[in-house]
Amino acid sequence: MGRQTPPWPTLDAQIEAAGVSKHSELGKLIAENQDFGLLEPGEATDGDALPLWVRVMWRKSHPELEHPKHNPLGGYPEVLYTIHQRIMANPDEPRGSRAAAVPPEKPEKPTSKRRGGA
Amino acid sequence: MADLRISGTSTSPRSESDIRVNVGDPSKVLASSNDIANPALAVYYSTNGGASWSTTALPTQPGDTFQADPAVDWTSDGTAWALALGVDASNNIRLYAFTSTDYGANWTFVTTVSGAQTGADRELIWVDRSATSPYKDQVYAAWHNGVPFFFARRTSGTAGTWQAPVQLSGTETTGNAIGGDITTNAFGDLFVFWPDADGGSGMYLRKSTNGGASFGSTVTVATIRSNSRRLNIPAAPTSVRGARVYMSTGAYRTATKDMVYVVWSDLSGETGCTTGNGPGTTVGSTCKTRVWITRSADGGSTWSTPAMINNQSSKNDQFHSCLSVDQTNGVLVVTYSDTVADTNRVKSHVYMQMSQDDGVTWTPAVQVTSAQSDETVSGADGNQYGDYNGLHGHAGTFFPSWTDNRNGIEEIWTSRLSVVPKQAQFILERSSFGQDEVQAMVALSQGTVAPAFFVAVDGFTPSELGITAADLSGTPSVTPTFVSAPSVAGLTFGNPTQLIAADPSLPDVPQRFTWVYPLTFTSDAGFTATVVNVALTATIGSVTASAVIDLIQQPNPYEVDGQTSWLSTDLRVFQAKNGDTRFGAQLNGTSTAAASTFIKAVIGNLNTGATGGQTYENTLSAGDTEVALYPTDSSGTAVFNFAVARVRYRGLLQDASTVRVFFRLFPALTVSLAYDTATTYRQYSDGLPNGQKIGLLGLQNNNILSIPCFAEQRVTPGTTAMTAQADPANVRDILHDPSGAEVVAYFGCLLDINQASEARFPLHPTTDGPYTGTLQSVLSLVRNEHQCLVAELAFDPAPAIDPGDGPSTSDKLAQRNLSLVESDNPGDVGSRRIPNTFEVRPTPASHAAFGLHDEVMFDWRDLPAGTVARIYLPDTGPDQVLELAARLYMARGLTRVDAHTIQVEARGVTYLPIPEGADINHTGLLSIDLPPGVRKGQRFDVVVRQLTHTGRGRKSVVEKGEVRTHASVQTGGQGGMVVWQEVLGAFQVGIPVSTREVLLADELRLLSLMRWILLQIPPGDRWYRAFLRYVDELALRVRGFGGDPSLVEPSPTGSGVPGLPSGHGGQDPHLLGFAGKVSALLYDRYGDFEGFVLDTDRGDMRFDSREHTMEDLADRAWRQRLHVVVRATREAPHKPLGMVLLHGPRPHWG
Repeated sequence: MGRQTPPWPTLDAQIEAAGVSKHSELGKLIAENQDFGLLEPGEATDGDALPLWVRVMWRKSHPELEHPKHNPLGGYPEVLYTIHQRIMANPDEPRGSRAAAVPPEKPEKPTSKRRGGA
Repeated sequence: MADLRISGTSTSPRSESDIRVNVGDPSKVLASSNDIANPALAVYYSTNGGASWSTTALPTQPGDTFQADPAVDWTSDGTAWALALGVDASNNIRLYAFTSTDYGANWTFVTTVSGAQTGADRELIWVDRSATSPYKDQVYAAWHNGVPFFFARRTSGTAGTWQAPVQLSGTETTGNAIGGDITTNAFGDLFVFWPDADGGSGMYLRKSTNGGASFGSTVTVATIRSNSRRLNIPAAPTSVRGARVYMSTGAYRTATKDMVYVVWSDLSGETGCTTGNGPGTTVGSTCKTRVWITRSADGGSTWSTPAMINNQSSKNDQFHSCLSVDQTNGVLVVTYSDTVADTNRVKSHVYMQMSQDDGVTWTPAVQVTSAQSDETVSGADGNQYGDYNGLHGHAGTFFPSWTDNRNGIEEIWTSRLSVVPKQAQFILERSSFGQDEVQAMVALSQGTVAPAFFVAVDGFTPSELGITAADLSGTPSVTPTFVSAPSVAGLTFGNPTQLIAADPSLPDVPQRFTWVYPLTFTSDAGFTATVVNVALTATIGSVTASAVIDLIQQPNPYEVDGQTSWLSTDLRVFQAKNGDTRFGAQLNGTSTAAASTFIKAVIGNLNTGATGGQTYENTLSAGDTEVALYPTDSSGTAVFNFAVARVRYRGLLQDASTVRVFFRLFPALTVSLAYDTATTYRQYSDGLPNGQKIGLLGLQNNNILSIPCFAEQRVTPGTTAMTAQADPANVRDILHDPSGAEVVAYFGCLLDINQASEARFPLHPTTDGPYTGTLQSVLSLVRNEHQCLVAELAFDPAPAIDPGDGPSTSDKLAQRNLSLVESDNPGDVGSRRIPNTFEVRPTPASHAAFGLHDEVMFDWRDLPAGTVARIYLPDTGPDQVLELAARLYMARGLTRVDAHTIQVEARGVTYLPIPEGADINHTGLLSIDLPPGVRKGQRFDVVVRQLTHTGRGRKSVVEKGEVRTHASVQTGGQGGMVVWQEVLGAFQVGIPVSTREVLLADELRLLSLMRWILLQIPPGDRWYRAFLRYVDELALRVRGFGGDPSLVEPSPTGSGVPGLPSGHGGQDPHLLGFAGKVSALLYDRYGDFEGFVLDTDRGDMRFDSREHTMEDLADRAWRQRLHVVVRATREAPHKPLGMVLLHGPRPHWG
C-alpha cells in the first residue's frame, strides 16, 4: 500500500488561524514556510500547539539538527514555542527572508537601562 | 510573608522564571523571566530581602530579535549572573552570559557561552557557592542543542574565563536532552543531569570531582514514565503548551553524608497512568501527575526507587516542581503547582513541602499562593505557565518564583518562605565549673545554680508536644527526656522548673518552647580528673539536643562568680569621699592623687588584714551596689568610685607569682564580653616573663570598647604612652598554704568616672599614646548611668582564657554588669520608663553563613503583665531582625515600631536574633515601660544574655603551660558536631519601685550630666543615636517625676539644675525640688498668707508657709508667671525650704 498524503492544512487556513492578513509580515512568513515535505507525516495530525509553518521554518533554519523518528515533536526546541508566541505578539516584525540576520560576531557591550520599579 | 508580584504592572505576558538568593548577602535576591511582548528578558531584583522589587531588562545583542529562557545566580563577590537565549531573525539561537555589579540594576554582556552553536535551548546556571569548595565561584552552565546535552564552565575570580562547551550526553540520549539541571555540594562535587524525555525516557547524571575539568561515566538516575517531555493535563493541555517534565536537583555533603536528590513531575504510575503523557483534558481521568523524588546516599553512584512526595487520592495534577537544598542544614524544600483545590482540575495553587530527613518523609503541603491561576481561560497567553518555575533558599529562607495569572495576565510572583525546622538545643548559662569554685559555692551554701541551662525546642506546635496552659503556669508536666553521663558524685540535675512558650496563648502553630533547668553541687567529689566531661542529652518529639559541661580541677588563681555570672561575688565596688575611712585607710583629699593613695592603702590593708575590723565580705555588698555617676555629694565634695577584686589560689607546693588583675570599665551595659585580646581585652606586654604587662584601651576600628582602670594614677597623656602605665599595687605574688587551703589576695582600682576635668584619651584613638589634641575624660566616654566592670586575671604563663570565653565561662574573668533604675508608682508612663543603653556583638559572619545567628535572650522574669519593652538598634533595621526571628520562632509578639525599633510584650522570654554585618558592636537602647499599678517597695529584675553557638572541641585548658584539647564528643547535631548555645555575656536590670518625690532630684542631676556627655559625642559616633534617645527618655522620666526637663542645663557635675545643689541627692536624702509655676496664693480667713499652689506637670502641689518673704516671692512668681523651683525636704515636702525664681514666660510679640 502506498504512503498516504497527510492532511496538510491550506495556506489560507493557517493564515486565518494566525488571525492576520496574507499581506502582513506574518502572513508572508507563513507563506514562506509551506514545505511540509520537510516534516514527518504524523506531524500533520499530532495536535500539538506548534503550527506546522513554524516547524518548517525551524527545519529550514536548522537542517543540521536531528529529529527523533519515533517522536518528531521531540526534535523542536522548547524555545521554538516561545519564538512562536513572540512572532504572534509582534506580527509586523520582519523575519525570514525579509530580515537580515546579523550574527553577533563582534558584540558590543551595551548595558541595560533600568526600566522601573515593580 | 504573603505572596508578592515581582514583575510589576505590565501588559506583556511573563512566563518561565528563575530566582536566586545571594547567600553571602541575603538582602539581595535576583529573578528573571520571559517578557513576551518585549525583546529582552525581564530582570527583577530586590535589595531588601525580597520585601520590594525593581525591574530592568537584559541588553539585547546586535541582530537578535528577542531573548528567552532566563537563568540567574550570584558569585560570592556580589556579582549577579544571568544567562539568556538570544534569537535572531533567522531563528539562530545562542546562549549568552551577562553580569551585573549593582545587584541586578544594570547588566553587561560578557560572552556567548554556546560557542558556534545556533540551536541552543533551555539553559541552566549554577554557581558553586560553598566556602569549603576548592572550586568556589566557578560558574557552570548547561543546555541542549538539539539532541545532545552540553556543559560549559567559567573559572573563578575576576580573571576567570569561560571554557569551550563540552558534550556530556552520548548514545543513550536519542531525544532532545531538555530539562536538565546542575548542582554542587560543600566539597565542590559537581553533578550535571539531563533527561531523554522525548527519547528513551531515561534521566542521566555525570559527576565531576575536579570542578568540571572532566566527568565520570554516565549514571542512570531513573526512568520517566511520560512518553513526552510535556505533560498533557487539564490545567495545561499540550494543544496549547502543556506542563514540562524537568529535573530539579540538589546535593548535601558533610563528613557523614553524601546525598544527591532529583525531583521531577511525572505520571503517577498507578493503574491507567503508566504510559502516555497524562490525562489530557479529561477531568474525570484517573490518570494524574505527581511530584517524584529519587535519592542517592553515595554521592550519585546509586539511586533509590522513585517515590511520590504527596500522592493525594483525589484526581488532581501536580506540575512544575522545584527542589532547593538548604546548605546550612540539609533541609529539602520542594514547591510545585497543584490543582488539588479545583474540582475542575484547571485552577492551580503553588504549594510547599519540606523534608528534614534527607527526603525520606515530607511535611504536609502548605499553600503558598493566596489566589489561584487558571491558564485555560480565554485570553491566556499561549505560553500558559511557561516551561518551568524557580526556587532557591538558604539558611531557612526560601524564594519560589512562578507564573501567575490571577490578574488576567501572566505575571511573575514570589513569596519569602520561612522554613521552621524541628530542632532542639541546649543553652548553657555555665559550660564549665572549677573545683575550687564549687568548693566555695558549697561553703557559701550557694551550691544550686538556677537557671543552670535551658533546653529550647523549635518547630513544634503545642499539640504535637502535648503542651497545655497548665505547663506554663507551674512545674511543667511535659518535659524533655533528660540524660547526663557519666553520673557525677556531688552533682545533681534538677527537673525543669519552668516552661516558657514563645507565645503563651499557645496557638497551634510552630513556635519555640524553652525549659529552665537547675543543677546543684553538694560537694566537689565529682572532680576526679583534670577534666571531667559531663554529656547532657535532652530528647522530645523527634529531636535531640546535646551539650557538654566541663568539671575542671583548677590549681591556678581564679575568681568565683557565685550564682550569677553577671554579678561576681569576687568583684565589688564602693564609693568614698574626703575623710571617709575604709579598711583602715582614710581618703584624705579630693584629688585623684589622694584617691590613688587611698585605694593602694586599702589593697595593702586587705592583704595584710590591717583593716580595722572591716572585711571584704561584711563591708562590701555582693548585691546591689553599682558604680555611681555622682561627681560630688550635696556639699560639693568629690565622690570617688573604687573596685576591689578578690583572687583565690590553692596550691600545695608553689606560690603564684606575679599575679595581675586588669580592671576594665565598659561604657554601658554589655553582653559583648567575649575574650579577644585584639579588641576588647587589649594589653601590652614587653614579652619578658613577669615583665611589664598592663591593660590597654579596648579598641575596635578606633572605637573605645573598654577603659583600663588602675590603683596607680594614670600616666600623663601628653607625654607618656599607656604601655608605660605602672600599677604595682595590682601585681603581687600569692603565697600558697601548704595545707592546700584556699588563700585569697586583693586587688583594686580607682574608677575615675567622676573626674570630668581629667582628659585622658581621644574619642577615637589610633595608638596607645602619648595623646595630644582634644581628649576625653573617662566620664565623657560613659554611655549609660550604669556601666559594666570586668576584672581580668593575668599572669605568666598566660592564663587559660580561650578566645571567645566570657565571664560566665572563664574563672579568670569576673564582672559586675548590673543596672538599677528606679520606677515611680503609680505615675505616668514617663515615670515608669526604665531606659538602659547596651551593646551586643554582631553575629560572626562564619556563624551566619550556616544560619547560626547569635540571639539576645531577654528573660523578663516576674515583670507585671502589661509591661512593654522596646529595643532600639540604630545600626540595624527591624525588618532584618524580624525576618531572622520569623525563621525560628514566628517573631512572637515582636512588632516594628519604626525604622530601628522593635517592641515586645515583656512576658516570659524573648529571643531577638542579631544580624551579622557590622564590624563593631551594635549599640542599642532597651526601654522598659512598667504598667500602671506597680507599688512602692516592689522590685523587678530583667536578665539579658547574648547567646552564641559553640560546639565540641573549641575549648581548651592550660595548666602550667600545657595545652589540652578536650576529647571530641560526636553525638550528632550539626554536621555530626555537638552544637549548643552558650551565654556570651549577660547583664541584669534591677527595677525597684519608689516614689517620684524620692527620685526627682537624682534624675534631674542625671539628666544634666548626660546632656553634657551628649555634647561630647559627635553625630557620627557609633553611640550617638542610641545615647541621644537615652537622654530623651531621661527627660521623659524627669517630666514624669514632676520636674521640668527644659530647665535642665548640661553640666559635667550634674549641677545644671536650678535650685538644686550639684551633689548626689543620695548623699542628701532629705532634699527635693519641684518645678512649675505658682498658680494660686492662699490666705486664711484673717487674710494672713498661709501658702501657695504650684502648678507642676504632675498636677497642683500645695505648699504651706506663713513667712512674709515667701509670700513676697510667691506673689511675684504668680504675678509675673515665672518658672520656679521650690525646695523642700522629703520628710516635709509641703513645707518650702526655699524658692528659686527662674525665668518668665516667653515674651509675646503681638
